[in-house]
Amino acid sequence: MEGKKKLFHSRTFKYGSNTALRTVIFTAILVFVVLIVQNHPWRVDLTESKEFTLTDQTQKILKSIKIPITIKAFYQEATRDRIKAQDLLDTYKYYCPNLKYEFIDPDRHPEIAKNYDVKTYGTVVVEGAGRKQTITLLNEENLTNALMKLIQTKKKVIYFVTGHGEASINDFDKNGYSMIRRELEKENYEVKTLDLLHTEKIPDDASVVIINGPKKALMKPEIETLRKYLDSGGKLIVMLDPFYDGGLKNFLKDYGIGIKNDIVIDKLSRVFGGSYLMPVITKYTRHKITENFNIATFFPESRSLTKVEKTKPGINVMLIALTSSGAWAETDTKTLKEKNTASFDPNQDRQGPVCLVMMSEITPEKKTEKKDDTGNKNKKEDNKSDKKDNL
Amino acid sequence: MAGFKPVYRKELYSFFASPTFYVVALIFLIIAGYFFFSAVSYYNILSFQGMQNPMWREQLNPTEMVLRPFFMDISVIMLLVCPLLTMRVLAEERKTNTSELLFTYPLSDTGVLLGKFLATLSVLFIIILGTLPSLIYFGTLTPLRWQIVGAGYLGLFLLAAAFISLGILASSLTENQIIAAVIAFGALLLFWVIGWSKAFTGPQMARFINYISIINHFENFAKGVIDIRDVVYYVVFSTFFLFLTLRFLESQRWRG
Repeated sequence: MEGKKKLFHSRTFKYGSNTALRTVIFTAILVFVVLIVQNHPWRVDLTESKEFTLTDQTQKILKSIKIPITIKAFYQEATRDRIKAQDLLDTYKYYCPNLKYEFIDPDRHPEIAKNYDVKTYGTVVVEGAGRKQTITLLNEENLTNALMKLIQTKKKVIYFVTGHGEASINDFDKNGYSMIRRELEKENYEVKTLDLLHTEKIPDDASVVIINGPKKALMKPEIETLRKYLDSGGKLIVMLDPFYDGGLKNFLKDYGIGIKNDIVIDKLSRVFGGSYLMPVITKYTRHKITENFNIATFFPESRSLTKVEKTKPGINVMLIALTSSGAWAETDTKTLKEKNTASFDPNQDRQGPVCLVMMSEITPEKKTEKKDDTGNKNKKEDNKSDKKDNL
Repeated sequence: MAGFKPVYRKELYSFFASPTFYVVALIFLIIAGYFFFSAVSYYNILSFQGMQNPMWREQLNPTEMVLRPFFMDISVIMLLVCPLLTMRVLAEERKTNTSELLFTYPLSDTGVLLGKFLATLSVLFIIILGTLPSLIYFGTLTPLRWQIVGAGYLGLFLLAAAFISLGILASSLTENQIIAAVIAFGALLLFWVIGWSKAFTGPQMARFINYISIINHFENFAKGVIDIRDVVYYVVFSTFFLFLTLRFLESQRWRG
């Protein structure tokens, strides 16, 4: 007892506890300062082109993000691209504290890469609100778009027209559209069907209406509904199989898209192991739709499209995807059906490149209307499911 | 803060009078010069390749490809050189038994320590500024963004302050200069590499480790971005270790 008392009154204890206390208090003050500054970041970018500063628009969007966002960037270790990506993600993080990012080397963690369906280095997966967005080229524009899609609470609605023998979005068969539906839903779209006969007007929430390979012709009132929808600025995708035009020939002609009664034969697809009736797209025109398309796509059993020369003013028609010049549009379908053979007839058939996808835009009254027209079964707006590696 | 000025002057004198300073400066500048040469040569090769490839040419950027790696390289040399400058500062006083004298003079401890700290920092920064002529020469060959150069040197200054504060603490712990240097080097290296371990820790821990890592905060300066968080990190880091040194010096008196 006596010894204990001595210890408490000793010089060492007195000074020691004093020093310890002062150290603790001082450390606490420093931690406090650090925490304040961490929560109120401020920085100056001294680079000439303001490389590490985001555009006002992006900043606005980042400020509106309240949910936690996780970004997984799949890069190889110690590459130049990785450093650039880190700079960009750092800049995003500066503006948006809710955002977290991590780098994953797909070679070291193939299981994670596979989980996220990562196929190329430099793929970036943005996750948040239980959804995800994948971008293959990391830059401010793409990343901001991906973030915007994530925080959008209102889903965009895609309508598939039914009632004319179209492939169903609930059909799990080979020709069914259930897989496309699933892919679209993954990208945060809502997919619904639309019976034109029972609706006078196309719903207002429609982002796009898709007619996928009708076997029977659409009726006049239905076409009128579509026309009204387009006139009020709607967007429509039409996909037509060869030999079935769905009664839309004249309707499409008004918008500058001419459909031919033929089937496209392409010898090139044989090289890739496909049939002659499966043309390969080798050329995409430069357009927002075809941005970053660098992989060949296949369009089994397609018909050809032509530009209609005389159209109403204000209609702008663009060819989107073309086959190689080795392909041609075969008009002698009778021989093809009966004898299963086809040969190029310079008098009747059209030599390639043959156009398979076309787009028409109406501009005068600030209306945009997009129409893709193919005879293909796997066409999708953003062309994810029908991309095929040409290995 | 009595004592700051005389101690500062005395420290500068003893630095410039000792051969250590000149050897350290020489080696530092030779290595820095080599790094600068290799960065510029590499940039040179890429520029030649860029003549054939217009796509590449747009990506050629002297600040990004020469300045940034150069500043990062200097920070590595500093890691090696700093303990050699700081090891002397307090350990020598203890060895020659002058520390007792020094701390019983009517000078404040804070003043003495700050004098020593700032003198060492000035000396190191003078050595670092020795690399400036090569950048000025490079600036005559290609347009350089001088604001970024400024940001880089500011970063180096802050980094040097952090290194030296930790080095001085190490020097106060022992009277053996070699031990002081080894402790300083080990501690600095640990602060340097700790950031690498964030890959195998949890997210909360990773954030903490990321913050602690001494070199993570330098990246921004090297690329031309001055972030208040990085500045505060270095200031807090230096203050903290100077404070610890002060407490340790104080404790020597009452521990008897």
